[in-house]
Amino acid sequence: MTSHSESVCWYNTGVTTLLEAKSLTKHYGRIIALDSVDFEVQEGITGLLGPNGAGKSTAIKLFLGLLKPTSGSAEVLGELPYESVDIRARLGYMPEHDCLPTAITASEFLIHMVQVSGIPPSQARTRAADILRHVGLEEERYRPIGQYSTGMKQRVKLAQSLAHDPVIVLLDEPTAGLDPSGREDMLRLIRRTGHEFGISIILSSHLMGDVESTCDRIIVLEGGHVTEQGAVSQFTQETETVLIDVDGNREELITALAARGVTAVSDGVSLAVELDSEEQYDAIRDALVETNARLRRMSPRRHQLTDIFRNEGP
Amino acid sequence: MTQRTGELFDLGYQHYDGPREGRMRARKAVFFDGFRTTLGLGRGAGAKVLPMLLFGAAMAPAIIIALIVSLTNDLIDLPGHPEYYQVVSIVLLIFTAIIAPELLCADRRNGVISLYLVRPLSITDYVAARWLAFFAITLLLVYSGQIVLLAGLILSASDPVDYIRDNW
Repeated sequence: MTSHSESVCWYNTGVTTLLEAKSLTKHYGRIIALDSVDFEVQEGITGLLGPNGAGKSTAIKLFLGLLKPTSGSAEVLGELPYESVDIRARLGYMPEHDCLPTAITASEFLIHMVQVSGIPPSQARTRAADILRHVGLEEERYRPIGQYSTGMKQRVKLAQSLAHDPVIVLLDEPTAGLDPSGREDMLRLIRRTGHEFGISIILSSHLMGDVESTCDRIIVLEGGHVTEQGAVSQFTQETETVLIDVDGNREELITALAARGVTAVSDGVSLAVELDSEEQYDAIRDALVETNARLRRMSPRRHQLTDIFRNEGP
Repeated sequence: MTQRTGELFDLGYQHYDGPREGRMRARKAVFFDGFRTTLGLGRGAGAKVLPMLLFGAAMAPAIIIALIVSLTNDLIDLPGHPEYYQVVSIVLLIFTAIIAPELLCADRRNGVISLYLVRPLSITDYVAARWLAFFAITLLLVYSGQIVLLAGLILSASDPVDYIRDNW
């Protein structure tokens, strides 16, 4: 079918393309999940952002070889995962849904899964213990998984995806179902995995906060198309907005800002100021002093990623 | 406090550069896991109850037959190996009806199957390894009962050597 390109040497070069979608299309009957999508994923942490049903999980499953594309190809390290069983030894996957047995301990489960990834039993034990320590499960690892909290189960799910030291892991909604502190822990763990362990990551999420705080690059999927892609810093820098709340003297403040060449938009509650340079902070300060407006709140809002889904329902 | 614990235990991440045995290792792992799961090894005491009970039920007729034969000193014509099969086939039926679905369905029910399928293992490898585990356990069950019965009959025979020669 598709000719195999030369195997990519992922271990001795700087920047390499780990995953590549070429006119990748997937239909489920008459429903089009992905419509001729092209993108590349390099080393580092890449966010796959999009509302539910945008095709994120489908893209991940195509790269894992769990699904076969309708047309086009999804290449992993230059190979097709649904044709090459061996390449899957270097991939990790953390599914969105439950995927853990309940009767056995996390330790037993990890030792088994590491072996299924092709690592001999003598080494599997060490790998399992190491990775469980990294995700923060120490004593608990000798308890049956059925007794774990959601946060602990998510950690086991992450651990099984990393335990065989993959080149790249694909995490499908890793923060789903976690409370705010659990989410923060999970994202911190993911950042560490990407930056300290040197394992590349694809992280899918419908929460811009997750992607913004964790990823180096993002790919935005909407309705089966890639609508945006690029470095996260680029997205946020271009569009920083500062929200200003004042008690009284609002109109004067707007005029004073306008006099300094800063446009402020009022939404009835706050003033939103689009910033494109650091000096504009000084202009805001001077305008506040001049108009004697009592400042209640001033906070940055990086809202480009939010605006991507502006048209989605609540 | 948390920070200190982190410092104490954080030895850094180690990359794995040992052997990777790929598909064959994956098949073996699934086979042995199936074997262990069925027998309840590496699990809580509760998981061991059913397999032990069924193993006991398969062994009991063999032991009882062997005991009766030895106590009655061959005075009556008692059931031997063919009859043992008839008695024990019902136990085998129950046993297979319980373990076969457990070996394949549990992984689908709790979603572990999707973790197997992203590893160096094809769906055929997975099913074959599970089926072999099932086959090995059934074989073990059938033959262990027969061996106990044979041992019992040999030992209770008036002339063990003759018994082996006659019944081989």
